[in-house]
Amino acid sequence: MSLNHDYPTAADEELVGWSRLGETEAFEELVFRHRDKIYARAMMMMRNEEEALDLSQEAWVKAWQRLHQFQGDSSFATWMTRIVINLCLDQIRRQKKNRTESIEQLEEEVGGVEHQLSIEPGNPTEGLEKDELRRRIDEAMTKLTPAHRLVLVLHEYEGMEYKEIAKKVGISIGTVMSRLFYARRRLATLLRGLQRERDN
Amino acid sequence: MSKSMSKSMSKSMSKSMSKFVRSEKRIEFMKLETMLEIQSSVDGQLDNQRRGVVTRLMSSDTEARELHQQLTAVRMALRQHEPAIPVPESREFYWSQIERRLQVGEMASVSAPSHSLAIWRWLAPMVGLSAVVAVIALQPFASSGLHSFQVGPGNAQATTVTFSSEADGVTIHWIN
Repeated sequence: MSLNHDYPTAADEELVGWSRLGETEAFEELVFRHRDKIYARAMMMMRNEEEALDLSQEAWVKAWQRLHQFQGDSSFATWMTRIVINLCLDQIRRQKKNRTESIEQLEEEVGGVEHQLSIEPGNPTEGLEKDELRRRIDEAMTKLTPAHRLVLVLHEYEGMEYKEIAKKVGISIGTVMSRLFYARRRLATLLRGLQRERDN
Repeated sequence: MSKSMSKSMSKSMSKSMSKFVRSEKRIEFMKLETMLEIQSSVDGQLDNQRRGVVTRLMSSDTEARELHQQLTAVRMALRQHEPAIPVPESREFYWSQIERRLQVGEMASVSAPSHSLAIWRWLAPMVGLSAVVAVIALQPFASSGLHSFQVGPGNAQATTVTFSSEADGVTIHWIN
């Protein structure tokens, strides 16, 4: 159904309104505008292209079905991001049930190793170009366990506080802090390693 | 952060600090609780009092200061340089997959039995039974000549009951 609306120049809120009336072209425009961000968030959490594609598409379907729930309290992009995050969390929970954590992972979660990483002076990201740093961060993120990456993504990219993450993931605040700490220390070490690699 | 956690960290931190003061020999690693407190300071999740304690610790301890710098640098790097990961499919193909899912969802909702239909599935046999009871109950009228009942040729699948009333000029068929 098209009512000659100028979709590419319309604001998100207008597109949402038209989508609610059943205009799939308006919804397609919303998908086009925000698909990379939604996919990136799924990819950041799952680190699996196939899963990220599937979950991001599922998020769009859920959004279409729940458009009436969008009140405009936050931006459409934020609302969409929360949908995809919830889907990813459900998926991670399902996977966790079927996975036996390795001893190393369990140690990381309870804070067995993070404080033993030496603290090296200086900025681990210093001297890296923006694009290179982005690439390096992406690379380093793949080396974190899903549990650590999850907490880091929710805190750094979604801006959630410790308490909020604890509630969302179903863990204690202490575990959130411990996982976040380990993830950051590990990232610092990985980035420093990449920095040295580049210097040599 | 909870008050109890903050208190326990505070105690632990004080012990950790006193170790620094009392012992000339530097301990190898800071306590985890102290490290987490420094992290909370980086994330702005400490109250004024706790922030003051961490600030004092950093002014007296190089390792604490370096940890604070490192955590801040990683935090800033992540927030300012979020990796861009574009969808590895064309706009058309990505949308076509979503559109297909939307269509499947709509078809499923259309073909799904509504509540009223589901209830009717339970009610149908009862209505059939009521019809049979009605036939038996109206038998006396059948013999009066004014009305007539006819039970159709039965088979395993269906039974037809016809009620006619000449006086009322009505004919009703029940098909079970």
